[in-house]
Amino acid sequence: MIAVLQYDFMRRALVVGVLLAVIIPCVGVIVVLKRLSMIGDALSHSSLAGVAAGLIMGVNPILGAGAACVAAALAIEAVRKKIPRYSEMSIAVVMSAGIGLAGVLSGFVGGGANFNSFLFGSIVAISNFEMYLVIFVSAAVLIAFILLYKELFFIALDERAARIAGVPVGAVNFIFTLLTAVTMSVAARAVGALIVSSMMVVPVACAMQLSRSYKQTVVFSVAFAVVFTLFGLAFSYYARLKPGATIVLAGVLCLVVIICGKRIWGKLRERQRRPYENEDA
Amino acid sequence: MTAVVQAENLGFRYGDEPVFARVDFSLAPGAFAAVIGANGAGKSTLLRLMLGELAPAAGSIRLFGCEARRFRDWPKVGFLPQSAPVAGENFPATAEEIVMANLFASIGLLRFPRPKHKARVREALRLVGMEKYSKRLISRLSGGQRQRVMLAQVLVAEPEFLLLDEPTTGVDEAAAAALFDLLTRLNRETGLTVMMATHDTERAAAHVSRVLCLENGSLLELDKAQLDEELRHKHKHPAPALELRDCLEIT
Repeated sequence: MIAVLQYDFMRRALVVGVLLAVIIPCVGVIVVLKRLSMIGDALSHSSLAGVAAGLIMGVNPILGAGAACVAAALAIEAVRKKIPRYSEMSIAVVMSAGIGLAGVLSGFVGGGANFNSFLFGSIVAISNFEMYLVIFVSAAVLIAFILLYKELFFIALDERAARIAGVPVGAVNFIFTLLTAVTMSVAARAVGALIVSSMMVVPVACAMQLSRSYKQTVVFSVAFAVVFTLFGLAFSYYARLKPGATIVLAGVLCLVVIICGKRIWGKLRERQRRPYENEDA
Repeated sequence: MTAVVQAENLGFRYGDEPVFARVDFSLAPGAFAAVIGANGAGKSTLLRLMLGELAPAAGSIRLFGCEARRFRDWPKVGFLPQSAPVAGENFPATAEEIVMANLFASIGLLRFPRPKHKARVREALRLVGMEKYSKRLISRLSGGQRQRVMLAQVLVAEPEFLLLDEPTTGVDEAAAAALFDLLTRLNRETGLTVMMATHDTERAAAHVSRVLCLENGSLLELDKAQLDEELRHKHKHPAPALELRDCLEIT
């Protein structure tokens, strides 16, 4: 790993990767617990429309992605409020609109290389400006997440009870929507719009298999994401693979190992509890 | 003395379909009341009107003297919803974390819990007999235990008025009996005003001081002696449970 860090681009990739590994699961925990896991896909796909629009208008594509993500997130929240019982429908509608718009606009982007780099990400091609943007966004998301820790927890647990208890549910949801949108837009550039939602869900899924409290779920999710990122960056460097995809695949592999390991462990414990039964059989 | 809840000529309809009309009742501080009635009679709707989640089609409903829709002093009101036993079934949080969540008003926006809040959580869990399960994941508890944790979550905020929507749905007989005993004890010892929507007429008759019956779009109060007689009748002829002739309309 030390040898890898002799290059500037790898140092930037490491900083950006670790910061994103800290903030994406923080947002991801709430998204998963609110049963809105697909929101990551909807936002990241919508960000592609912003990327294309940014490239056409000569604006930084990350800023375009950020604007598109914020618009998409607010649209999802608005539709979710109108039809709370079918909240997942709002995600499907916004995702379809985002993909459609991205498809149409991408036809007007000259030289598809830059646009395509957003599909699978290019964490090693991050510029200094983009790194500072990620540092700023990460600081904002982390501070907001810590300050709104108990409010977000209560809303994820029971939005109605939170409202009755006096939590400003509308304002907190609005802030969280914005945080999710900006997180997704900067992460789409690093790990790719097509797989960034996995970064949001997979570490949380791993943590939920092992944690014994909400606090542990948050801490474990961040820890898993950081480990996946470090492993993915190092492995992709030596194996010449795409870093974003390698990070996500490392996470999925770990999740499969944890689930299988838990099942085997459970069976072993069951067998230990009933040794005489097994001998009789 | 201001009534905890007071409905005057209250009416509600979903679209063109009336649910109830001309409902008048009031609940004094320290009362323990049950609202019974068949499915779809409007028990949950009445509770949602009290919580200000729905607007009356006619008349008014007041909480502590204030229109329910304009009421803002929510820490005075505790609400245990119908889905409480399944709430948090797969949520990765401990009983302690779930109870602590409802101390929001006491802790304050953007602030963190202090030792006194942790002590209140322990006390609420002790009150419902769940102190030793405080560090356990809610998903690892039984339906009855989850129900008690959700009740502790409501009680930790020290409400003056406790509303429960069919609290015995989805819990076993023993847990339902324990819940009624606990509510009776809280009502007697702390003067907590309790109102619950329930199908459990038999237990309600044994524990509560007032039984309100929602039937055919009207709210009627059952005389306790007549309710006992009706329950004896119910055991002989399980359905229909209650007849309108035995209901005394509240004026």
